[in-house]
Amino acid sequence: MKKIVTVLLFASGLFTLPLQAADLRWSGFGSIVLGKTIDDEPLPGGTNSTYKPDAAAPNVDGAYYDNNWSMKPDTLFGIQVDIDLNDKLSLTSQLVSKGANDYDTEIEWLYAGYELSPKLVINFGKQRLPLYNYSDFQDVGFAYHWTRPPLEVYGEELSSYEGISTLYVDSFGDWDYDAQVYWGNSTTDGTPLGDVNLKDLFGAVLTFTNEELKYRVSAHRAEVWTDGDTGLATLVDEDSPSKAAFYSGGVFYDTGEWLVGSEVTYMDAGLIQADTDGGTFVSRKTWMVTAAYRFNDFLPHITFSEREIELAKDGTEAVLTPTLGAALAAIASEPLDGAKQISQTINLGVRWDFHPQAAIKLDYIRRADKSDDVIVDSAGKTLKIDVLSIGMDFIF
Amino acid sequence: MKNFIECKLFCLMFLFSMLLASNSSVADIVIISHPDNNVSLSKKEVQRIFLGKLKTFPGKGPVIPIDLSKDSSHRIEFSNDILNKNMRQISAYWTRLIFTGKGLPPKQVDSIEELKKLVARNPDAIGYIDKDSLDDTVRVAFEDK
Repeated sequence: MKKIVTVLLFASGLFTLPLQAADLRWSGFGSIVLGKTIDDEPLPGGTNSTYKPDAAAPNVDGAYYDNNWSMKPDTLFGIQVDIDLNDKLSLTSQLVSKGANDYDTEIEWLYAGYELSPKLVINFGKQRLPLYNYSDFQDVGFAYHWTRPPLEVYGEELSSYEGISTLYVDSFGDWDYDAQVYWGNSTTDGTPLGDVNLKDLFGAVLTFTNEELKYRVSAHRAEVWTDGDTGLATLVDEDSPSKAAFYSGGVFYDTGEWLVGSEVTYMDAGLIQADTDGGTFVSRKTWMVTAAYRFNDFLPHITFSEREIELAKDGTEAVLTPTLGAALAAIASEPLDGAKQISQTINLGVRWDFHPQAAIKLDYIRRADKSDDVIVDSAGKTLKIDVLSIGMDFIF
Repeated sequence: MKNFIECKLFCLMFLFSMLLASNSSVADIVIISHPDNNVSLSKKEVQRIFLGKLKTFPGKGPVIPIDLSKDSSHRIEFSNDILNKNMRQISAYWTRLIFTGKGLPPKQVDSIEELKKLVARNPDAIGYIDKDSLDDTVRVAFEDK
């Protein structure tokens, strides 16, 4: 089979290079993960905390780990097709089916790329939002060492946009760099905030790499509003969207033996700033530091991550988890201004590369709730939880 | 108690990680091009071409790199010595590029003979073989000294 594919690729791609034969390549990825929470702090009502590894998934039971073993929250399968229509024009589509979304298949990407020059490509269509170093391949577990990138930093509900992007790739001295600029719009339905709409989403990403080091910085802005039955929707709507900004910076060092990396983000959600009452808003700071060392086929690793959300007095409860939001709504008289919701996670894990295209991963995460008392007293430690998971990631 | 067992399982996996092994290598690798293509490449240029960062010969037309399959000992040596990356890094590198839509890996063939034939036929193509397999159907575009 492999041979046939190779022959076909050559028949279309190489010998007939000047001709217009479409060169088609399939690739795919997947993760099959079993996990459960093994310790958590019960909430004031006596219920157990749960853990949702994929923030972009809808709020259905299958998206959460609880104290029963479950295979849904992290399990997924994706397939990608790259078609070269000629030597300048290509099509890319990626379909992903997630257990956390009841295995519904969704088109994550669908875009056409045109090579303006050997260094400059322009893409039109539905593409991944390049917020972080890991966002482009966040679904592809095989491409990184954890079962999932740390939720504190990468637990983003928005994953794609429809629009235009350009990618410029060049080098100077020993360094290679690429610059990506994009513009578009995005709608994500069914998040805890309601349906989140981003208009005039605009951003730039700059990446520098040499043999062992990678630096990445990005900046993004958008006009945001929400629809749906949440408190927030009444504060920012289509007629009075708020301006949000997001920044990230990362450094990654990979010698093949050692892998050390860190990424930091800051979001000025600006959600309520545009509102006439003058003023309250949510900001979010996140960071993670990770280190791994390879012993032959095994890669043990350790990661610390933290997320700090700063609250303001009006309406921000809707931004929090539903449980917490409800609890906060009930104590609206408390002075929430400046209160912080903080979670920290330690992830200990090991990746075993037992096959060139597949890896087994064991991850133990301990998430701690370091939120200010005003939040914890009323809602309990909603973020405190330990989760164990074992899974296999593969590509083809 | 259950937590304890789960923790123990975890520690065991950690200990497994302590196992070690080593790699071996084959003959000297040279980068080849078509006899009519008198290009002379630097190591950095070879790296950029085979990692999809450079799509033209320096100052010239398009370049088509041809790789050997992943289990080939020549491929492993080429990756280690010329690209300065082990096969796991190579695999992770392409996984990231493919699934970010930023690039596709070079086409692969299964043998040195096949590779040499393709390079001998196409002035845009480059590949790598061991020095002992050189003949006058191809020329050396880069040799690591």
